Amino acid sequence: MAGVATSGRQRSKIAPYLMILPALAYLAVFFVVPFFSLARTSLSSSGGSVYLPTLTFDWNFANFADAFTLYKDPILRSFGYAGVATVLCMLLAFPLAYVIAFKAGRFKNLILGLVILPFFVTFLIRTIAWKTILADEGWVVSALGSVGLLPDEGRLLSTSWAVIGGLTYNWIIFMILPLYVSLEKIDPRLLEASRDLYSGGTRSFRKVIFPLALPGLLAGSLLVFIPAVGDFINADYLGSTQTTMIGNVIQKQFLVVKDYPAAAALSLGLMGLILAGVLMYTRALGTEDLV
Amino acid sequence: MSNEIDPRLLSRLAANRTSRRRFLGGSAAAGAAAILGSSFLAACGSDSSSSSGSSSTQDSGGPASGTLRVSNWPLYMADGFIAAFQTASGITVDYKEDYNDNEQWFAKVKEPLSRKQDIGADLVVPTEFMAARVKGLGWLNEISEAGVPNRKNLRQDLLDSKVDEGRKYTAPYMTGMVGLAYNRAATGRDITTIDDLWDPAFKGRVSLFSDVQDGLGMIMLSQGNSPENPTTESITKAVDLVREQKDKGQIRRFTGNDYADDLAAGNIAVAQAYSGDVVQLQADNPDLQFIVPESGGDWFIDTMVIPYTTQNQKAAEAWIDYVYDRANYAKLVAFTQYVPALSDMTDELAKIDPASAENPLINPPAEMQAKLKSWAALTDEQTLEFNTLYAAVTGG
Amino acid sequence: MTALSERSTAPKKVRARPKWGDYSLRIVAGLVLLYLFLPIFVIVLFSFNDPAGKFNYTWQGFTLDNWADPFKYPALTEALKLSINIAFVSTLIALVLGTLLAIALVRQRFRGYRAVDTFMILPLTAPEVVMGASLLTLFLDFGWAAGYTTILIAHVAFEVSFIAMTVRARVRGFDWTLEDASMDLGASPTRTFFKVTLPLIVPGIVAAGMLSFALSLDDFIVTYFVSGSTVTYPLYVNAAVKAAVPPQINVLATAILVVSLLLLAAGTLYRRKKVVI
Repeated sequence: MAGVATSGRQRSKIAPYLMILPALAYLAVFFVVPFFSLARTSLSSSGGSVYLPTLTFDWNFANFADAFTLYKDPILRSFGYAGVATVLCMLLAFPLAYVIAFKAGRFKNLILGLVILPFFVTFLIRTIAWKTILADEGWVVSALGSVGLLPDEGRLLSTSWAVIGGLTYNWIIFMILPLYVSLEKIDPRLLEASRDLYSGGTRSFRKVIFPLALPGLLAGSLLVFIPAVGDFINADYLGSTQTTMIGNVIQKQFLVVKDYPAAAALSLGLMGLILAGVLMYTRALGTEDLV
Repeated sequence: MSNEIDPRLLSRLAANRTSRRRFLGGSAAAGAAAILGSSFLAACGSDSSSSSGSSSTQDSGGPASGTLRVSNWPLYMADGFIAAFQTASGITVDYKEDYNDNEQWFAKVKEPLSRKQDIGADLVVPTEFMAARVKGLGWLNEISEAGVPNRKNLRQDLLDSKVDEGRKYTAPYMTGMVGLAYNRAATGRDITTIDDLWDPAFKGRVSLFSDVQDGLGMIMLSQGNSPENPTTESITKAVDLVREQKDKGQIRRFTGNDYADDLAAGNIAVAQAYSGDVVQLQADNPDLQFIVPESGGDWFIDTMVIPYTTQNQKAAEAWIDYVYDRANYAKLVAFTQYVPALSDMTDELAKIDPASAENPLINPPAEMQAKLKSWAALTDEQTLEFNTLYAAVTGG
Repeated sequence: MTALSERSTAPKKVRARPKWGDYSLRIVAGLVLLYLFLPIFVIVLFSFNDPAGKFNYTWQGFTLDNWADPFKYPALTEALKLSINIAFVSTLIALVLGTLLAIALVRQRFRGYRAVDTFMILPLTAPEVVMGASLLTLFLDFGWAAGYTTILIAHVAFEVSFIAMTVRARVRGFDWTLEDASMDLGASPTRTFFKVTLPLIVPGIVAAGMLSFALSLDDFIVTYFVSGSTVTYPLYVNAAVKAAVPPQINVLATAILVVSLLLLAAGTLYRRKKVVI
């Protein structure tokens, strides 16, 4: 996938540096600095007053060890839920993005606008609406129940599937749009040609469409997976006592237990794990670049 | 929301506008301003809280005046109350409903308050345990006796407090009962004891509070212990019971105040609940009941406090005094439908809302009140310890 | 937008292809769209609900009263206006920062390219609660009062990465020889950038902008920490929902949807007219 300019023309050497400067400078101040203070806290021990503890930096790697032994389950669960949600997003987003990109004609922008519209209503209101639709006594659950499609608990809400559903619904827009953006620039004549060549939908898809959609798919899956892993609010409202995610743990450690080193260690650890996961993922997809 | 802008704010407004212009670039700022006109101004205004953090300065002996910034829970205020106060006192009130969770609020104001920086409010309404914590850290101003003569209207049991001797720093705003709510149609029977929570018939349809005091208080009482003198053992015993029930799948969720929709929809059959919420829900669903468990429940008290970074101590005290006038207070009770913090409210309530006066959840009879305990004053270490123990079960 | 990839003038071929494939694809897409709107229907419906209590959870009866008095809760309306403002402004800023970043990363290899690549992902991975608290401490250290500006700064900080990654999906596979062609024809690099490069990646920028807007409008935890006493729409709703859910929340939400829908429809009609003429 040639994403890079291959040109014989002399390109300005400093142009790229100038272009990345604003973003990097901004993030250097408003992300890196807080990040460093977080890193520092993660390796500190807290003592003294309960509410205004003094944090002494003492290379306390035990914070990390403790965090990962105690909270192994929520961590694995979070990666699991986020993974399933990402796959679901891919499956649901692709047909929609495809249709908008190639079949929508003049209604393209209208449908695109429609797609993003639900997300201008805040998360909480959408979730309450879902709770109304999926209520234990509602007709959706009854219908699924009669067909035997309900999870073990005999309900939809307060189950892991509800959490996954919430993650999928709330992040799907981050799959649809990048995918659309990537599909839309494919020249339809390529599609026609590939259909002629492969005389069939599936092979044409595998050989031509899918590879060309890959950048969008990649961006989309990262934009869904990464925030989903650290999500806590879906588990809060749609989950049960058994569906705690790592985001909930960090919330609790920080706000209620006030173990700042532990919260920081968990946060940093989570970030590291996600980064590692992303690196493996992009390598597996065979792209030369990270994203 | 204030109707007029304090001249000190105006000058800061001008200063702020120019710095933001530099930051954003002229056209973007102009575009944004054009889009929102006055509300952009309002946004500017709220940004210009001072960082000098000087505590109140109006000890000049005259009547209270100026602006008062109040931070309260949402929908915890009656229509027309603020306007009436403004007319009666001449004080402008900037009323914000931005208080929604005690620990979240603490996490947010901890840094500014520890640096003696203004937090944007002259009067806040935290729950009592949080007020006690903030008082213990030295971040509250005393509420002068002279400033609040109506203090005598307080309920007998609230005149003094275990966590605030002499009620010097906290002024009770509204109280409520922490008990059990159940959906009679869903349970098929009456609920009376904590053991009913553990009935296998309700498996997966029970919710408990995730807060230590609200959640464990009544459980401890059912085990023969009391929140009036909690120990590591009695807390652990309660936590273990909860853990056991959670592992069995009995407990569907640990909630904050967000149990109401599940209860209303019938997803939850029995929930630990606050009395005021149930009164509201009952209006639409008469199947919902609230009880104080046989072994007892506890009170929660929301209190008005004045942070030591306040910019208008006198106005804050004037507000408290106004709230403590029975006729005014009755309007608050009629709207919020919680249990009044003032004594002898029956007559005033009957004048505006007779139904409230007769509602046992708003005007609880003596036998009900006898079963309600309040938590002892916990040391910081105890709070930390108990929170940690319970968090291990609720999923932190 | 159709400068060089001449889609609209491509010869339309009539082919015999299995119709069911085409139809089933459209049906599935339609179902997904329906799935996206399912809660919206409920929200709109409940804006007409008539609860006796403060909660709007169960259907009680139909009324137009809520629509007659949508601005009953001034705090709600103000919070909404503020959030739209912040979303709009922060998106503009983040779009500039993020687009430049995305283009630079794809256009040519430069030293430190991989590092920047990896770095860009980090803001997405950071849990909100700790970042929010750390940002607040940072602002206090600078001596800035928490409020509108700090919310804006925090929002831009997390939006940049989202935008960069979305625009990048569009920019990859971009035919950079177009730039060379333009410059061969005599255009300066800047003119080339604005007249050739930018227009072709506009869909990516628009998509990124929409995502960023939605993100900002919905942000709760980080905003909570750095907002001081300023109340944004999610802050108001999250707080209010615990005490009561006035139908006005649904009314305002529906109103936004309707207005946006009308704008979209108008835009579509306008384009149609342009093309026909």
